Amino acid sequence: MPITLDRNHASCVVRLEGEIDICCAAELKQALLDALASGTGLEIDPSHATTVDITVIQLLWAAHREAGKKGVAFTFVTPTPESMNAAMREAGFEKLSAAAGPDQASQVPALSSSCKSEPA
Amino acid sequence: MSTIDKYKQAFQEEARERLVELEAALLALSQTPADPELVGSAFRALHTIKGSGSMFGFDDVAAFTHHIETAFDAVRNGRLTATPDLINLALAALDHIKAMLDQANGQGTADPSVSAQILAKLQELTGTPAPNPQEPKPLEKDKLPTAAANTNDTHSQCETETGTKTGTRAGTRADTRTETQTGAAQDWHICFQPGADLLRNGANPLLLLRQLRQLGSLHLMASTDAIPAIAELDPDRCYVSWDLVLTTTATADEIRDVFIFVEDSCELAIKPATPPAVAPVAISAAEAPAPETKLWGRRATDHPENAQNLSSKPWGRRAYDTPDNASSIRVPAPKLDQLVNLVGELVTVQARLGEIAAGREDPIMASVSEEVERLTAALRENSMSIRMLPIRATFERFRRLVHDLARDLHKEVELSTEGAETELDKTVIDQLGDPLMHLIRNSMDHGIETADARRAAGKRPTADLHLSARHSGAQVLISVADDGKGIDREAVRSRAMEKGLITPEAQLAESEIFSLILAPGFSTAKQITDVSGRGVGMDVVRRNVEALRGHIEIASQPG
Repeated sequence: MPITLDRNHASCVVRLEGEIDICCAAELKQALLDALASGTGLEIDPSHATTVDITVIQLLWAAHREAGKKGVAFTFVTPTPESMNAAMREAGFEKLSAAAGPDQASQVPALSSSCKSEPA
Repeated sequence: MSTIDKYKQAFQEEARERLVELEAALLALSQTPADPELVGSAFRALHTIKGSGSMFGFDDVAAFTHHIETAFDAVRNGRLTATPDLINLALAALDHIKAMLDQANGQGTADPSVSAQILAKLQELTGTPAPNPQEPKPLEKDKLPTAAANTNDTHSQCETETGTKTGTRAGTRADTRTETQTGAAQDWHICFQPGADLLRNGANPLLLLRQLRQLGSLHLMASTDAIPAIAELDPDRCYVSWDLVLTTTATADEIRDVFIFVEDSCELAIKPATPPAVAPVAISAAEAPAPETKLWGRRATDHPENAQNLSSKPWGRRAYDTPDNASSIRVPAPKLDQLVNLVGELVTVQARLGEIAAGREDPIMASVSEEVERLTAALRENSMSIRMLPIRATFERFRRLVHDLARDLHKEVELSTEGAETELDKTVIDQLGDPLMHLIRNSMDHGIETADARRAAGKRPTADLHLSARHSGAQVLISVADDGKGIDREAVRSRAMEKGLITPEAQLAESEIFSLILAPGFSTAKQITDVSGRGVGMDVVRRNVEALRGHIEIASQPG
């Protein structure tokens, strides 16, 4: 299964594995909704994800915003794969990417309506 | 078939059409190697195949095509000449791309060694470092390209291809163009908003952004305004839109090429960046406007000027604002066959209805029957006309055959066509290919002489081979004519006697003698070549044409 949801008393962990794209976006959405509904913290574990596409990025963004509204933690299990960081940077989701980086606190920065990316 | 598979299939069809264009351009280039229009046409076909191949996951096709495209970019920029060797190599590459497409379709296998051979030969011809057929892939190598990386790529290529250093600016396009040839790098403001169906159509916005990065230095701002609450979010739809500033030497058309397969499912605006639009790029992140100002996040249409420009050509286009004015649609051939079959059944039923109506002397039924008959006839005529295709594509296909045979036989041959717009039923067109091919092969092998022999006979060294089609009453007359030495009447007659086809006393008209060459196994060739001489081809021609309820006439005079 490319997407699994593990619940424990402190948080729900959504694990991503392999190619996560539009083909499993609906599954990811449901996992994120279930995790958010639990009221505990939401942890994303992309350590075994090989590729992600824009459907995944916008779902994570929406989940992160929803978590902020509910006041629950939204964190990434680090280190995140470089392919995922690269996809987020390429899409202009620098803040989400930064939050996913190994040296960052796992809490995603405050939301904004846009993300900016410049060439390396 | 999933939606993505359907769009992969659409790419296959589009790519094959681009290959036809490429082949036509290459063959025309072999006649006029310096024609910039033809070079541009070949380059654009390669560029489109590469770009769309990458977008739809045909990475091997994209990687291989990239190298050929690079060579033609060098030709386009005057750093390389379209020599016969390069054109022949490009034709071989074209065949290999077809093989890769076939392989992706589950038909046949594309031999990787062919790819390596072509690229090695390309290295010899262009003097570029040996490209690996698999690496670097045109998009993968630049997943996160930097301006410096682009500059290095460009620089090394210019040096090796021209022998002179041609400097390029940081942040310019990662191809081989130079400032003196294309002008200085320019900033372009691009607004890209995927439509609701873009992802479902198999497109990947991240790949499009990567392709833009290949053109130069890209600054982007993703707008997340439209992303709804997760519960309302349609996971198959892209809600993110992008405002981009691209610094590149590429033209607006070249930038637009990146979006060629998604233009109808997105809002896209490309225009030269004005100073106010560029300014935010220069400021540091710390000085960047607060998100609330949404300077970069807002849609291009929010700005009155942009809103006006978005709907005006040439730089802007809003697909959703324009009516669907497609003048043609692509329909799978089996669906047309099914339509014709159904109409055929309808005609049968209509005939039965007519008989029944005639026997009942019911004026109302007779009236309905006549109306059905009229509509059925119109439907039949209309459905048959849908299957009618111009013979142009078949004629054009033979340009390659003539080019390759002329090269192999060391002859000079010019193919001309006439009446390519003549329409025939698709089935007839499909079945005409083989007979015409055999006629052309025989003509070039047996009829047309070498350039030296033609000179000795007082002829132009380059032979004419003429294909024509025209309506002749209810039939279509297709002719294959050459100005070669003609058919040796006596040789045909004596060979026919040897084979027992005629007796020595037989009195035959000239046309009857020539018709003997259509007999199975008949050949006057003294030796069998790779091209013809086994006496199989002309028999096939006769049988195929007769299967189409046609007939063949042969006329010849010594030339």
